[in-house]
Amino acid sequence: MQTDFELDTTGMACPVPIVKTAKKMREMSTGQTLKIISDDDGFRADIVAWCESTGNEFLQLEETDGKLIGYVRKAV
Amino acid sequence: MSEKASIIVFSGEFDKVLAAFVLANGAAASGMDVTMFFTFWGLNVIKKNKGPIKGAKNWMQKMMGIMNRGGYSRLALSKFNMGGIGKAMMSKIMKGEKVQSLEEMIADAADLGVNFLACKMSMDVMGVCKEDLIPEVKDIVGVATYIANAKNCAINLFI
Repeated sequence: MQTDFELDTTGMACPVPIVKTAKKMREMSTGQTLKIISDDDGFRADIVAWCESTGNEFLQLEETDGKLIGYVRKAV
Repeated sequence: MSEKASIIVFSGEFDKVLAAFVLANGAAASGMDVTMFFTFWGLNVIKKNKGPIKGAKNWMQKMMGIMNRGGYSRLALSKFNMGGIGKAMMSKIMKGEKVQSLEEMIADAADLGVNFLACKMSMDVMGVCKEDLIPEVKDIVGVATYIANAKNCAINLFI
């Protein structure tokens, strides 16, 4: 999936992937998309929950080579 | 207006304070307006790392200042601290597991706009004055400020 921005949080434990995602989203405009790479298992549930509580749109979650790749769209 | 979260940091132990910051940063990253109230032993988290406290008014507060040295880098583990050996081991383990240090978490919290407030009454008890606190602390307040804020919070925690 093509995205406007990418964020690699490999090697970072909770809460950093979410904190970095939130910080990155602050720099983005509404409608832009972000790809987030993580190797933290908690990220699987957290990225969905984060979108739910912030009102941003969760697009999809992929899993390849032990890495989780989340896609979100800035909605607010 | 965004939802609000309030965390009272009463404890001054490394592990409990770490939990408080994970929650604060998680809430702030989730778009919440977060306030942390530091009181009693929790004041140690927001005390500067160096030197004796300047606000001590008598020998008992001075003693307290010496035995209860502040600064986030001095916080002990609530279990198995073993004179600091346990804390050092825990810090090493955390680093290996790629968990942020408390210092990084505090910096992230400030960056995310978490509001740091200090409790005036416990500052008086401990002989701590404003100059003893890190600059991230926005204000020194009383219980009424906490209550007024907490009434409107979706999340209220006491750690």
